[in-house]
Amino acid sequence: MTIQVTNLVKRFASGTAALQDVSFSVREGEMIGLLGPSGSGKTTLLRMIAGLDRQTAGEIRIRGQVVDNLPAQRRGVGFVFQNYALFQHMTVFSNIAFGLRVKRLGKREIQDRVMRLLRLVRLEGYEDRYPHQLSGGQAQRVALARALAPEPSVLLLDEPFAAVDTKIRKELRRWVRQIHDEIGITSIFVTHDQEEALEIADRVLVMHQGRVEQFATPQEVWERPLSPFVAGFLGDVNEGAATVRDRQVQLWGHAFPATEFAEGERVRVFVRPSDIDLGPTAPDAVLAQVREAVWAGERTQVRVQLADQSTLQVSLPSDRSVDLTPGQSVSVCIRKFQIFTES
Amino acid sequence: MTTNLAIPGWRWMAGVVCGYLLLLVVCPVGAIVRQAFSGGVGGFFHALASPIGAGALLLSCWTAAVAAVINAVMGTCTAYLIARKHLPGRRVVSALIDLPLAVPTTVGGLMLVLAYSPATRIGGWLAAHHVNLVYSRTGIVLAMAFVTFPFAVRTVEPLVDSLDVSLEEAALTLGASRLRVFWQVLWPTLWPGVVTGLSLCFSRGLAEFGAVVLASGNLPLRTEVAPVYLYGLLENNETSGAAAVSVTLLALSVLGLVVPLCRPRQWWKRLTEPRGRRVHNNEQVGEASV
Repeated sequence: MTIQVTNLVKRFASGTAALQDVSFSVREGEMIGLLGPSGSGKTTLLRMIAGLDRQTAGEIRIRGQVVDNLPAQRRGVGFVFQNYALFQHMTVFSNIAFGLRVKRLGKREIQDRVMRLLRLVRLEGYEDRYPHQLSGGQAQRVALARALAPEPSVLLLDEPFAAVDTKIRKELRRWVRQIHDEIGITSIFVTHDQEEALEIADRVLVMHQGRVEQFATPQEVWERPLSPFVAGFLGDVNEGAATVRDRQVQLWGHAFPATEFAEGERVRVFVRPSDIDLGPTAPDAVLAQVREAVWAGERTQVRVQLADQSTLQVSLPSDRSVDLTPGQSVSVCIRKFQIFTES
Repeated sequence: MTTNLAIPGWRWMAGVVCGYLLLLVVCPVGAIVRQAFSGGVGGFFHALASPIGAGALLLSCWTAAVAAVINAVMGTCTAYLIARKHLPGRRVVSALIDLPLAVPTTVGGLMLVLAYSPATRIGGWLAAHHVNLVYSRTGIVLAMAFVTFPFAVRTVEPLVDSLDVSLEEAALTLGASRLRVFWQVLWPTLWPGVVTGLSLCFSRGLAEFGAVVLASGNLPLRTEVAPVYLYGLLENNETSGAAAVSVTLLALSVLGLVVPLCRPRQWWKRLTEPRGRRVHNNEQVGEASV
């Protein structure tokens, strides 16, 4: 285990709890995505691992060593900030060399290592530039090289792509994943973008109100969310509430089997728009009326209204040959769903 | 020159501004320089060469310099604290810092005397330990520091504000000691403000009369500063001598104010950047003036 967090609690002076009893561990070489809405405590957690904030209670171990009393300088943790935090008065070279000069390495060694890192982040020839002469993506790559330079045992990235524009963001995050694979460093990155987390993380830690909601692979988090929050947070979702009757939940014209719930219990049902199929009308099928269809490239977003006046959001592949003219009747088939108790 | 200014008739206005400057600064300065040299260059230096006059000027210079250096250090610390830490009572502290600007300087001097003269409890205790905070050279430095402290804080504070905390944190995670964080991350941004504060404190301290005259004791050759000395000359109708001391003070003040205007960033770069690493392209030239 590279990082082991046990019963971590953080309370601010005002009394508000930023983290409540957070425990998890990260294996060597893993890339973890810390996912959650703003205010869920993910950045606080990251800063505490780095030693930039101190926890109220609990323990953090890095490579088996308890680091609670170690200052940030001695934790051997690389940190990449959302706003890059490059030293403006230093060249790219000096920025990357900063941590190496702190270590008092020889001139030649520093030169070699900085050049190797510049090659790694594909910024050869930029060593004499100043940060203000770089684009956002380039600046973030320098920040990454600077954090990697002292060869930390752990790399922490706080919303590393938030300040970069959308097109470069996708490119940059794949590329960060690539670098991670190349050097095999244990990494944790914070994001509020679920797509980002699902795409590049080995495992995703979903946080909500200072608690860990789920810690699993992207696929598992997507397919088998453990809580209503996770189900609702990852992507668009249709959500409905109903009561269990005869081991079933009646909703949207469908009868969902709910064998593991008590009779009369209030439950919430979650269905992803992509887990619903629309087809031509047929006998015995659940029917609905198309209200709106928005073509969005590969997929078409459809809103349908059922007989009980409830609506469902559906995401269909655009090549599906169904007549989606508003007012048209279609059959609705829900392929996958999640049921949680109300509380 | 654009003609689309919000206020029409800029030529007319420029004339008014020039006239105002003439009235406030140019004519008075001209008059005092003329008076100082009314006895020729010899007369000018005669007034400065007297032991008491030279001693007063020298005393003014070094006490103003000491006060400026102390304030530069304390002002930087204070600016850092109020800009970085959202401490309770921050507004009160901020108001206290500006107090010396608001009160008449003689009131400031009087406050120091009433607080630290040997007759008072604090002053008496300090005097018993051979520390005299008033009626001594220390008193002069203290009075000058009191008057100039706001300048030392307010010139650095906006620069601390402009520095993101994450820069310091980034340096810490890279293993840097706090000392290194200060010198390599904070100082390169802060020092122009510190130098400006230093020069303002020096010039203003050199010029201070009201607070110093009360707190220093005014013993010729020991605790009499130049502004007080020249006031004495005026009282004895030695106008030329007073003018000569004035012109010297004026010259020293201006010197103190001009030093930070000499684009210190440029020669700092020239000093710190190894020659081999400098790149000669347009971007780099643009950078130097930033």
